[in-house]
Amino acid sequence: MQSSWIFPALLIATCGMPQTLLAADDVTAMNLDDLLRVEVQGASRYAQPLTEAPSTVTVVPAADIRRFGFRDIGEALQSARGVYTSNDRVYSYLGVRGFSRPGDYNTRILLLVDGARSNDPIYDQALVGNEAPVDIDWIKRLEFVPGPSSASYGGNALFGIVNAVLWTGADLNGSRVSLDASDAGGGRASLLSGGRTAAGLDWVAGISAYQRRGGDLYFAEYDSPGASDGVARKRDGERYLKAMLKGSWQNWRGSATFSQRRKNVPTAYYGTVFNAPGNFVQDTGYHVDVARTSTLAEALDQQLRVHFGHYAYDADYPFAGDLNRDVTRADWWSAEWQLTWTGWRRHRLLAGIEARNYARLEQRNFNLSPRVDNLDDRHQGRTLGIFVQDEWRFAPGWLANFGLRLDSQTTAPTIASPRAALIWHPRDEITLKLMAGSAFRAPNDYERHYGDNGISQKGNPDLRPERIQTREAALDFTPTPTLRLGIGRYQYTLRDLIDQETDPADDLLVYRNRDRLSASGWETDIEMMFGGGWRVRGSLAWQSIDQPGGEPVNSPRRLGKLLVDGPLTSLGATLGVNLQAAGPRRSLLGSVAGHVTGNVMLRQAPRRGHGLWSLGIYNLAGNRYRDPLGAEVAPIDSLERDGRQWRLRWELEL
Amino acid sequence: MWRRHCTAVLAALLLAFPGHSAWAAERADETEVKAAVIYNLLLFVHWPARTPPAGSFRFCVLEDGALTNALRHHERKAVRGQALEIRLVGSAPEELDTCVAVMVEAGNPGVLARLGVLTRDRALLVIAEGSDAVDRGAMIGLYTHSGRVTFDIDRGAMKRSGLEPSSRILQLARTLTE
Repeated sequence: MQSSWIFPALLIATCGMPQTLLAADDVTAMNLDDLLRVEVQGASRYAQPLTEAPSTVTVVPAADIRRFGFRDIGEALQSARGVYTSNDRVYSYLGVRGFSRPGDYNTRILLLVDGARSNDPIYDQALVGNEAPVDIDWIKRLEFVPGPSSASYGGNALFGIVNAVLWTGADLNGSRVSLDASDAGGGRASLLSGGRTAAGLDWVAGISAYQRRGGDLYFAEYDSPGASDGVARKRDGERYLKAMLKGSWQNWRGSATFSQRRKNVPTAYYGTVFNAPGNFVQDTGYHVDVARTSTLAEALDQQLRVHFGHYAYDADYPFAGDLNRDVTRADWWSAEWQLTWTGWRRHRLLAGIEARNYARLEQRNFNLSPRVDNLDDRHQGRTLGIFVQDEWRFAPGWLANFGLRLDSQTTAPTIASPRAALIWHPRDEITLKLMAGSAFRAPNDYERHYGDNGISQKGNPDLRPERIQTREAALDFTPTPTLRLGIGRYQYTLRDLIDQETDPADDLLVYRNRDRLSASGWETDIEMMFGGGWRVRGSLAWQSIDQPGGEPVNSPRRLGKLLVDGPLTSLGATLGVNLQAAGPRRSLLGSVAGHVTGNVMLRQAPRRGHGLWSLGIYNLAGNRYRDPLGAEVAPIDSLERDGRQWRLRWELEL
Repeated sequence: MWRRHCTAVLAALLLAFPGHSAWAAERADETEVKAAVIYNLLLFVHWPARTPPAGSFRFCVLEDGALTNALRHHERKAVRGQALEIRLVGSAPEELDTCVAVMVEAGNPGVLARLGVLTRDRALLVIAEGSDAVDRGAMIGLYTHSGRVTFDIDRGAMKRSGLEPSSRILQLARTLTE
């Protein structure tokens, strides 16, 4: 109802289509005066707000993704200071600023693809492993903006935003083929093509398929003589198919992505039968995004965007004597209208409105034979957000940034998310930022309504939204061209945190709002360049969370990273070394030890038209380390991560 | 089901049928225009006599992105009596030693501050995309404003590096920092 008036506004706003488009040859022959008179179509509106975000942005360019052999978004983000990952052999989880809870499906990180939200509306999940909505090789640049960003983007942006900027046709101007072979029977084939036609149509198409048979995994918890030897044999397989089509023409742009990932689950979670076949999850999603930018008047630009999303989750749980199934479906669309005004000297004003309509939010759970319906929950919902932002260069070297967003939604009261930042850049070498902001997340459909009739979990419709307030200071210092130092301090307070717990009354998992939690931390990083193109980056993070009930689960107090890369001229290759260290972490029942792991990547120097080889060895030393798991995996409390892995890749650029 | 989606479909249709066009302005691809502007700007900057050292006019880029691809359309054209060469370099300082100009495409924050420190004692022209590029340390910042490509110039930074922009481009610059 509340969004009904947006559409006339959309209609009014669509005007002024270009009639002729100059060929590239015409442009190259023009003189400067004429060039400055030519009207142009926007190219990179998507990403700009992020790069100017009042935050300590980390950018992982495609060159780093290749040099270090990052295999998924989570692995790439782990190169940023203060970020860590964990894995339960179902999904990959991101930890930021010491926060990563078992039972939390990355709900407090917002994942954007070319600026469009990709978290689903049922689990709120940011998919960053092989289950991600896009292939890592389609990403031109991965941007990580830590801190609260609800002032711009609404819910979920509590700990940060991840924006995957995909390649454009003009970037690619050809095709890229890659074939991988990896450990445990893994293989992947990928094709990415793109170009720009003389008429100005920029297009990209990509498809990737991956399969991994998976090895045997030993679980001491299930090693009981007579019943099981504790080995899950070939129960860790995985496969995915991803496809993407993206185009822009004049001031229109559109994209469609598809991803389906199926993963076998070897951990016998939720009390399923250990080492049974057919224990799997499948995540399927597609997104269609259409946007148009145009200039309404002198210094006034607009962007319109319409997005359709679909998400499906299918999972089979083999229980003793019965097969249980989850079927989850979500369909939603959103429309956004954004205005940017630069007519007021030293200001850049932005205002917008975003409506999301969740047409289908469906969660079902049933036993197959005999058929027993445990859950058949169907909802709809909508949200409406309005936002304003001003970037004010009030003095040379000074920038102030203010933002405010109001969100109203069917499941929570209207919430205001303010943000303010002051940036001082007195000289080339120094940038100082002071930032404060708040962000929120409304309880999602899964937390409110998922219950399987007393088998493992129950819903809690009375959940309240959780809120975070963050204060932050960051200093960036570049004393010489070859040295950069960064240091940051943050504090945050989380109220009404939605956390999973086991209800002692019935032994069922349930989500509840918890008491206030506060945290603080230091983060520092250094980047050095050496002769011959060698580069060394390192970071340290100290983080501590203060909460009732003692130390939080899966929260290392210290994190360290060291990344070294450079050319091995004699081999005609580049070397990338990536060391990651984390302190000990508490688990639900005990703790896991700290660990250091190292990845090494050797890659031939690229030559267009010639194939090249690369070899990545992950966890080179084969260190044994563990991640804490959620209560649903009991009696397993922590899980050993993969030992040494390898990936051999052949790629060709045409 | 159709009723649920119909408003969304309507919105898509509205987007697909735009309204009037008062005049048929000449339009061009933003990236192509930016590349052509960059080429033209090079013709209006004076470098100290001893540069460029190489046999060609070496224009370095840090990223093989869309603007770089568009700039390649100008490769081998003459700049100050030499052929324009587009060269992809890493961000290591010594790789920039033979460059006379360097360009940073949009979405590469952090690099500009470093280049600002790096260029202080040498005649390296730093061009970057973005309306705040000059604030971030570029000598010339290129961006679109009201649907047209425009640029800012930090004349002070250019002078400190021994570069002199001609009065022609100083007149055309949208904002001039001394």
